[in-house]
Order: sequence, then structure tokens, then C-alpha cells
Amino acid sequence: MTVVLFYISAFLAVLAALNLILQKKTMNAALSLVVCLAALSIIYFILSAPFIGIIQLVVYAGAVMVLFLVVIMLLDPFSEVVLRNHNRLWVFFSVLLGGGLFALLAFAFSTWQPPADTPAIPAAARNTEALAELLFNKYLLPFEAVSILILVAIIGAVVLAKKQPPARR
Amino acid sequence: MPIPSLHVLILSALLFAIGVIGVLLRRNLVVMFLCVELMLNAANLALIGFSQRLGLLDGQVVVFFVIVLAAAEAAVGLALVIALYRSRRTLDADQLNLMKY
Repeated sequence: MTVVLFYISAFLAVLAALNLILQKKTMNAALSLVVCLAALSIIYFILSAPFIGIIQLVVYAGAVMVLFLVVIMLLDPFSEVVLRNHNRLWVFFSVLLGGGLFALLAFAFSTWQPPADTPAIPAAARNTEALAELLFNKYLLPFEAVSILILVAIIGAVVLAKKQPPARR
Repeated sequence: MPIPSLHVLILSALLFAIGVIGVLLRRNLVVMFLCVELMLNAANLALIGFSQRLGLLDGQVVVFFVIVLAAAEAAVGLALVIALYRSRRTLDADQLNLMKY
């Protein structure tokens, strides 16, 4: 059952990603990224990472995408953005580069030999607990550093998006 | 029956390649930004897949940090986009060539 759900979600994620790069309207592209993120969240649940799945839904599909949608609505909702269709060589080489990258990554992943005896990941009920133990012991310093980084990002965003006084233009 | 980890990694590679193609093909700054977010998510998926296969939770902690960084990056990047739009009145990446010449 979970296997079928995994393949359905994977198909949905790839379809939404393709729609993201082919969609003409910016708003539709952003909404199809939301679909892709939700599908990935289902996959995280299947791969025994329920906490990350919830975070993905709440922070990514919730907060970050709302930020994107607000900015899109603020700037130009009806801007038609076309592909670089006027330059077929560019399109050809872009797709070639992407396909080559995919082939390289797939080759690297398929030659990877995982170790035979691996410890079982903690069950879903204990996942959040084990993650918190790791986060607040082994990764305490990066955790605190990230909080400072968020503060810097907030101040930077406010300063950048603020209206410049006319005298300094 | 567990999911074969190779399929998870292949899916992540596919999403990453789609993100790269999107950044190369699109000219709208916001859509390029969305494609970068897609690439970040593909990397997250690879980390989760490795974490599940190796039985190590460290990968999930890294994904947690990546999500936090992506939120900060989105805030700063969108502020930059707003500032650019305010001064140049365009979101076309091809017209933002002030530093090219």
C-alpha cells in the first residue's frame, strides 16, 4: 500500500515540477510548486521522517509559499513570461545540460553500494524524540547559529524592501 | 515491503535536473527563484533517502537546517526582488544587465 502511495506521490511531484517550468503565468507556477512540496511531504512520511514531513507542510508549503504568493500578487499578477523560444539553441543546450546532469546523478546513485548491516531508524512514534535529542546535543551550536542567521535575514529583508528616501536616489 | 532507496534517489535527481532546466530556461526572476527552491527540495529528498537507508537520523537534522535556511533565503531573495522591481520596473532577468558591460 505504502509502495503504491510512494509511486503516486513521486509521479505527482515530477508532474508538478514540469508544470512549474512550463507554466506561462507566475502565479500558476508558484501553485504547482505547492503541489510538488505536498507530494514530497507525503514521501517524507513514507520514508519514516514524519517530523520533517510536518515541517515541510507547515514551514515550506505554508509560510514560504505564502511569502512567494504575496510578492507575486504585489508585483505583477498578469505578466506573461515566455520561454526563451526565440533562441532554439539555448533551449536545446539547457535541456541537454539538465539531461546530462540527471544521467550523471543517476549513474552515481546506482553505483553506490550501501553497507550491508545498517541499524534500523527509530520508529515513527519515537522519531521526533530522537531528532530532538540529536538536535539539542550534537547539533546545538549549529542550531544557535541558525537562530542568529534568521535574525540577520529578517533585518536584511526589512532593510532591502524598505522604500529608499528620495534624496538618496 | 520497503521502498527501494535507489528509486528515491532517482526521483531526487530528476527533480534537481528539472530545477536546473527551469533556471536556465525561464527569464522571470520569481520563477527562477521557485526553481531554486525545487532544487533545494530535491537535495532534501536525497538526504532523507540516504538517512532512511543508512539508519542515521543526522540526515534528517540536516534537512531541518536546510528548510530553515531556505526560509531565510526566500525572505532575503524576495526582498531583493521587490527592491529591484521598485528601481527597474521589470522582473526580466535579461534586462537586468547593468553589470554586464
